[in-house]
Amino acid sequence: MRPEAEPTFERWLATVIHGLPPEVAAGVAVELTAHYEDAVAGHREQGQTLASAQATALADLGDPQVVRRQLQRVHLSRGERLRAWATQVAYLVWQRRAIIGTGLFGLAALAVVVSDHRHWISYRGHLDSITPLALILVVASLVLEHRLALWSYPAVGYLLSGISPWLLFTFSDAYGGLLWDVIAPLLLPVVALVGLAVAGLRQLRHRGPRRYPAAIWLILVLMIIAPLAMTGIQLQDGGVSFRPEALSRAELAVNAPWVLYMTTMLLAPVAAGLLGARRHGVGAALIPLACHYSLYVGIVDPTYHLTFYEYWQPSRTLHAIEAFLIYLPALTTFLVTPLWLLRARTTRGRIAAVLLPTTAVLGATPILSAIGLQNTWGAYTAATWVSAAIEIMLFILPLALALVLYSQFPGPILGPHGSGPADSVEVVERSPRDHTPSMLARSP
Amino acid sequence: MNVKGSLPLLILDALSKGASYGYLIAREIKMRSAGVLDFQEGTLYPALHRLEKEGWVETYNVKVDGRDRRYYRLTEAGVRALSDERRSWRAYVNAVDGVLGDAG
Repeated sequence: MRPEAEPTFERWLATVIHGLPPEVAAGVAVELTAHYEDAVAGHREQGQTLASAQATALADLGDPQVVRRQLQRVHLSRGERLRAWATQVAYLVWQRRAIIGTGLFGLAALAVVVSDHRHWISYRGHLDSITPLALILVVASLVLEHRLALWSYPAVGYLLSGISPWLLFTFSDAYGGLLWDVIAPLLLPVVALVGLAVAGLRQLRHRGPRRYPAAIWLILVLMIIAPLAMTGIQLQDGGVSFRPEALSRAELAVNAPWVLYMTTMLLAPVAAGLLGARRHGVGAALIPLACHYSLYVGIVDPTYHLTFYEYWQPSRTLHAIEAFLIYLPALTTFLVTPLWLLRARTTRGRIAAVLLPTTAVLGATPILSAIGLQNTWGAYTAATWVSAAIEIMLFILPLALALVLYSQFPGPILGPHGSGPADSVEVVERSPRDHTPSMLARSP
Repeated sequence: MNVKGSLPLLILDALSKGASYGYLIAREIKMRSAGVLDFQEGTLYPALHRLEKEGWVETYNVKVDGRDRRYYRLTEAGVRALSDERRSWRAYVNAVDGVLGDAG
């Protein structure tokens, strides 16, 4: 954990003389330093240890902000005090620029998503007023920090969440033609498979013929079995049963390619994140991935049927649930996750900041959607709940895969450089028994 | 007990015994009040600087162990101000005593 900075006399004095004219500040510094040293000597004479004497002397001096304000009232005119106050505010804002910038972008993005949510679930991607802002943030991060800084990740996630819809061939009736009917649907699986293969080969060369954790293969198998199982679920006599015919050659011939395609769709962002994970560690790849799944998948899939039904049968309840289903992922993606991330001081805290809200969104939105539709469609009963559970699993599995896969790469949790006082990444916990470089390790 | 409003009076009184410096003034006030009068020692300096601006105290530096120590002493105006402030304080205390006495 990053240790809390111990209060020191130097810091206390710096606060007190901040904004005073230099000659006054110098005099005050001499006086207060002498006072502090006399007080420390006095406490030591009474038998205190040095550390205890220093702490007592500092506590006796009182609140530095109070002393600063009183000194400014004596030595500065009203205008000068106002200027000093403005400087102090600007300084505090600059110190917290990451949190403030992220919060402002989050609020702007939240406003756009919530006010224009129908656009978001049209499967056509988005190019709205926030997109240029997101691009500016990403470019600013690359130019200023030579990497994607923590504060740029919500913007990265926003841009990523707009890419997938453009590549979905099944919903491209608005486009048509060679690009949308052939190239786009092929592009995603190709990117996913090539990305995974290249990263896997590089990793193999880097680490030698060591075996990958069994969890990776288990998750991959589950990612294929789960959607296949969904095609075989049916409602029968009020209960849920599995249709064995779903495993027949004829049905598999129809369903398997679709399932494989959807699986590679889910894997594509994971594969794309491998490069970031190799260069900057697990966090660098996990954050935009979480943004993508939470913002795109969390909004689009659970809301689609609600919107569709609400279109034909206008209902305030459905509309409210639909709006909430847009609001929840946007809120977590743009505000909860980034601000939690910037405040987290431990590796575990950062991973929790990324994964917990995302998992909550991916879990909550299908459930809320199913609740919304429960009394509207007869089919929305037990089978629907099973489907919703599988759906939840389908979107959480890639996140779990990413976490396990990326943790195979050595490197820092969130990038090699700090990015200012408010979001610098300096401390990473490491268990004494954790001998291998992992997501918990930070490169020297 | 907080001395916020009466700190200038206490400082002037402490200096009426002779020139002194910040740390010693703070100790003097706390010691003579047996620790009852408490204040943030850092706030002593804005109060001293205010008194200096008013012309009630003046300063001079003395080298002690190789470093400058800033001493404060009362000016003529400071002596008069202390006398006025004492009178005001006694009037205030008498007034409060009168009220408390009636109530008691």
